[in-house]
Amino acid sequence: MRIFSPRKLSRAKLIGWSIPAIVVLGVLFLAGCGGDSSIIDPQGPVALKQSDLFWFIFIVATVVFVAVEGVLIYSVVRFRARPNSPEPRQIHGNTRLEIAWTIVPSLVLFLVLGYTIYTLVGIQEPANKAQTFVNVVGHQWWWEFRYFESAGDAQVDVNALNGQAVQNAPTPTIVTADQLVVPTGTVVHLNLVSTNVIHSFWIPKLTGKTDVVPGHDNHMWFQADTAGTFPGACAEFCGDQHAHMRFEAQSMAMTDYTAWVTAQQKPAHDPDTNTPALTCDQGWPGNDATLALQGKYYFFCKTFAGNNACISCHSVYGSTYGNIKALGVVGPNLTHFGSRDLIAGGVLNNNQDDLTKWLTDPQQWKPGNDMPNLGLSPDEVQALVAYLESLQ
Amino acid sequence: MAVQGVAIPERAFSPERLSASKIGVWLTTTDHKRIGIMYMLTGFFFFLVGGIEALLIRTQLAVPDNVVLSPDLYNQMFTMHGTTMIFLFVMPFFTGLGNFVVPLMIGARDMAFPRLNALGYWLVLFAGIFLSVSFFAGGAPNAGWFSYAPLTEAINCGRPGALCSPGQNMDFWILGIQLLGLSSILGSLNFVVTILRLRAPGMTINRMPILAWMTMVTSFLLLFALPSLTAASAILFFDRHLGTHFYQAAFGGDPLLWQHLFWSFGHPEVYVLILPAFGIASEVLPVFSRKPLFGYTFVAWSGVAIGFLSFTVWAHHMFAVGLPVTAQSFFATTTTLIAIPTAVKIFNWLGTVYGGKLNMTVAMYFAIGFVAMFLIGGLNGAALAIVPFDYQVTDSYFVVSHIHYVLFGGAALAIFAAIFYWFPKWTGKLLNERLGKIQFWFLIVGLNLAFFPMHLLGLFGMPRRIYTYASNPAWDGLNLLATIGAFTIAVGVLIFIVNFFMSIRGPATAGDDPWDAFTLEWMTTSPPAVYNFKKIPTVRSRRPFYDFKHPDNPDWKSAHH
Amino acid sequence: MSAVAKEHAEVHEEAVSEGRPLAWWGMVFFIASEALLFANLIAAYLYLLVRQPHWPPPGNIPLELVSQGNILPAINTVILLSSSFPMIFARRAMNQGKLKQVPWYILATIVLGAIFLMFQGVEYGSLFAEGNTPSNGLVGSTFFTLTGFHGAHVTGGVIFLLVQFFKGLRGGFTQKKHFSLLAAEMYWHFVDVVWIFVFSLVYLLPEFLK
Ligand code: HEA
Ligand code: HEA
Ligand code: CUA
Ligand SMILES: [Cu+2]
Repeated sequence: MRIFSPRKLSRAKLIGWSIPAIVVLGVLFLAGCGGDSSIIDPQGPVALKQSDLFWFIFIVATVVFVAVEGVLIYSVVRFRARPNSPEPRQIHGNTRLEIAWTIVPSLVLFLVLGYTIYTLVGIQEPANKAQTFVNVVGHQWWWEFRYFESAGDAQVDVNALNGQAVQNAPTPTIVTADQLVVPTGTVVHLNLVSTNVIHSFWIPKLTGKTDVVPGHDNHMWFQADTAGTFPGACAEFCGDQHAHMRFEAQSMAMTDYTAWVTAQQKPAHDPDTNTPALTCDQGWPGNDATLALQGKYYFFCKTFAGNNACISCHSVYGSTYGNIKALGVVGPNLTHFGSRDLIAGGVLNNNQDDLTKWLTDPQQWKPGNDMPNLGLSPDEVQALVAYLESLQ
Repeated sequence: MAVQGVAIPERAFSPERLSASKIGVWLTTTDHKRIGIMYMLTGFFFFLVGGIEALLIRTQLAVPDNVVLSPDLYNQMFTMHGTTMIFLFVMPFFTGLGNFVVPLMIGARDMAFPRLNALGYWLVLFAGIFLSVSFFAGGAPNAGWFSYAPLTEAINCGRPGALCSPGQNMDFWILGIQLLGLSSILGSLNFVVTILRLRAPGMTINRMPILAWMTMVTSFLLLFALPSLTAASAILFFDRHLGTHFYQAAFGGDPLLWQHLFWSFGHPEVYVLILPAFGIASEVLPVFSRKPLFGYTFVAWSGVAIGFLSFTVWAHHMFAVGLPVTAQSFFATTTTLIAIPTAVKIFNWLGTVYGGKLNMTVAMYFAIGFVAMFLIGGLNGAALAIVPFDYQVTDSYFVVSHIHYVLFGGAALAIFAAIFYWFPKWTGKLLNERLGKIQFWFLIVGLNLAFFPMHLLGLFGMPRRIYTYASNPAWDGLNLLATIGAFTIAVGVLIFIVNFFMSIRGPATAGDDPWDAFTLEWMTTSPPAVYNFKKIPTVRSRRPFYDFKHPDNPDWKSAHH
Repeated sequence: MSAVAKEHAEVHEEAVSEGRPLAWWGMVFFIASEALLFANLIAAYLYLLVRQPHWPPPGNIPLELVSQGNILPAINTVILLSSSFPMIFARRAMNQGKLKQVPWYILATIVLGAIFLMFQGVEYGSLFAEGNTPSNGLVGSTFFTLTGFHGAHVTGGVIFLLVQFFKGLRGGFTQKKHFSLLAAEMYWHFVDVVWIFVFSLVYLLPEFLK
């Protein structure tokens, strides 16, 4: 039996077929070329429900679109004035029609609304208990991620970050930046903190946005069902470098995740293990020292405008140079910098070339960001790159 | 022309002499028609300004990692683009159109308060210049057209010594917006009083042309919505300069207070930008369909319903800020409700063209194009009301797409319909129809090229307001397409400018009633005399001029209203 | 203006001879819009207030309440409210054709308004002295904004009335044509009513939040 016979395809059928055709083509097209941050290629339950709603309204809207544009185009073609066309009847309206076309769209819209509210309520709380607790801090312009053992600890940290007097503030188990690592298949709970302007936290393939509003304890949850790397971004305009407030969410199987956690909790790698007695006062460790160690010297000792340049803004936990510690909190914590993919809100990738570019002139790559051009010489940059990349 | 035959005293400079000179007539006029024309010309001028800003935006975004605009300049550009297009293009244009056309339509001799009217215009011009020169005076506003606090505050912004918004950028915005707000308040109460009190005999409310209805609803919206913006920006100014803490979380203030105040203005505002467009469509479609407007009562009252509902939906701009679920559900419901009266309008326009005898003039092209394109923006808006989906696409290019389908596909196309339709009344001359059709196709193709890809960009995760992006296979092509679309629109606009200057120089061949129209403004000369009508006509139906031309079969015999 | 324009203006007035004058309607809508301005400011105040667990918020210098002996604002309220009466008398006098009396009633209102402003100045002075300025947390922010906005409107009203006073002295009103006086009166009553709200919310409401 022939299913498809062009001769029998009447105009009504054509319109009837065109809707599913558009929808099917649309699905193929949209799902096929959405790239790495497509919201219609969901990789977790929250994003999945959100994209389901998209397809639903997409179909409804397509039907309405085809119907209305259809009548419009039909009228333009059919009723265009022709030399012999008669004067049209002077119809002023039709109450029955009015009632019909008020009620029908109302019904459709209330259906949409019902589904909306059903989903809205449904995604408020996760089905399972959260296992990972991360405080997400929006800086201008990069994201900091602070991991905690429990929701309680995380909340105390939020209060402390917001400037409240807190007793026994818990230390985060991990502090990282630009990269949020989570285990697959479990619920991640995020507290969203900002003490500057409003940001908005978004991982298109995993979850829609929640704004990060100063003075509001906003939180959200999500879950990644597949392992992978998913781009994220700040979505609320937050100043000059809003474009470069990106990050990566990496989800990995529980075993990999545990390994990651263990690695991140170790003190920073130290090129200095053999000569722990070095101090800044002794000056440059000399050409004999490894490049990484030279870099470490610059990192801890190099001064800029009267301050120790790097450590006044960055932390490297568990590492000292003489008795100097790196505990700066203005910029990202660099303890395990070498393990990350991105630099400075994703403006560059984390590799030797890009890091060299960045250290040579941060303001060229991300104008307006907080890291000044430190006037480093190429040698100093080279040494610092070696040091920073060694912080695995 | 008004002053012919008046003796001019022989002094070197005198008010009389000024108001008799060629420019002076315009500078000193209180005639609603001249003021209307000045409003519209100013509005169109700022459309070009905002358009050039848009072209710069699109040039910067054409390819990844582009460096045409610096980050700060880019931020100034989109802020001023949005602010200019909304406050200095669409609003002044609609005010101008209402000024010129509405008193004529309802058979009045002028607006109720002619001098206030002039004041309103000069305020707009001044505020527009004030806002625009900020580019050259230390930096234009750069926090987006809705200027979210605390990015707009002059407080310490988390880092030692760094203020969120140093400089005068935001002060320009606040002061400019205050002036524009004052102007709109004055303009609106003038419209309301004119429409309520100065109608010709027999021109009952229920016989007014829909454009008059929509102008009235718009005016009420402005009267009741603008105070929110005035209050919000006044206290922002106090925060910046007098040390108050309204929006400063560190001192107990709340950034969300700004959002509530701004959007309780901002949402009624978006209907301010579309209701007059609905009015235009409701005038143009019937005339060129050779039928009365289908379902007049429903079209009029659905506009009123939209007006009321528009005050209840503001937090749909704030779904992602963390409001309680009940609040989000409430605003989702009201936002869904507001789609119903809009749908009623669209269906009635379909009812109007259906079964008509369509005279496909350029004005009709644009009116139909308006319905077709606004529909896309409206459906897109209905999608945005779906809260969980909005979490995904808010602040992405999906929203940018919505904005432009309703504002460019909606308001701007309707404005072109209005220009082609009423140009003969303003000038006595006709715009070139051929050029008009070419322009139309450039705009339609260009706008879909420019703004349709933005839907996809939003779905593919591109945030709005980013000055650049790293190369991404899903984004690059679509962005380039959007840029090509923007320049296609620009070609269309250039064609219009050529058409305009050609026609304005051409002969006055339009006559008083080139379209065989239905409403009172066509019953008088083109352009109308200062006093509008020799004798104020008496109205017996919704189509008084039709009745006049069809004494055998007038509306007031066949229809009861 | 030209002759034609004048003729046109006359026709213009003819058209609406019945009912309230156009300017009355204009004034009504203008005042409605102004009222909403205050409504928004008050909403902002209440919004910030309900978000706080305690009012006044800890760390803010509290406002001395009427019940704690701060009676100046209460006196001021009486003064401002009573200032509306002379305006009513002014209109009555006008309607009865006693044009000579009108400016003196207006003056009475002006004087009361000026006293109100003076007392408000005194109050501001003593608040500033104890460190309660617009940057005194939310209390200072909202107090000075609400009362300041109102004070600015009173000042505007007083200037408006002064113009009417001199106009009246010059004999600028007639029994038929005196709309600017009515407008000034409407505006003044409005400013009074707003004060009732401002006073209740700024001074009285905190009494119940202690
Ligand atoms: C002319 C201006 C205009 C108009 C008319 C509209 C109309 C609508 N808008 Fe839009 N909107 C804007 C201008 C406008 N908007 C702007 C400028 C912004 C962005 C501000 C910014 O952030 O910069 C915005 C943002 C915006 C948002 C916030 C998005 C976000 O930031 O996350 C939302 C969310 O609900 C929304 C919804 C709607 C809805 C539901 C309508 C409805 O009125 C549409 C109703 C019409 C229809 C639905 C089509 C006709 C109906 C039918 C044919 C019936 C059948 C339909 C169905 C069954 C679906 N708009
Ligand atoms: C009525 C409102 C309106 C109109 C008509 C437009 C028109 C256009 N808009 Fe815009 N737009 C907004 C309102 C409007 N916009 C708003 C409110 C925002 C949000 C701002 C914000 O985020 O704060 C926005 C944001 C916005 C963005 C997002 C920026 C970002 O988020 O980073 C973009 C990007 O492409 C854009 C593009 C365009 C384009 C290409 C047009 C085109 O249609 C423009 C077409 C016009 C022209 C091309 C002019 C032609 C001029 C000439 C040819 C020159 C002739 C010169 C002489 C004769 C001297 N607009
Ligand atoms: Cu942070 Cu945008
Ligand atoms: Cu809205």
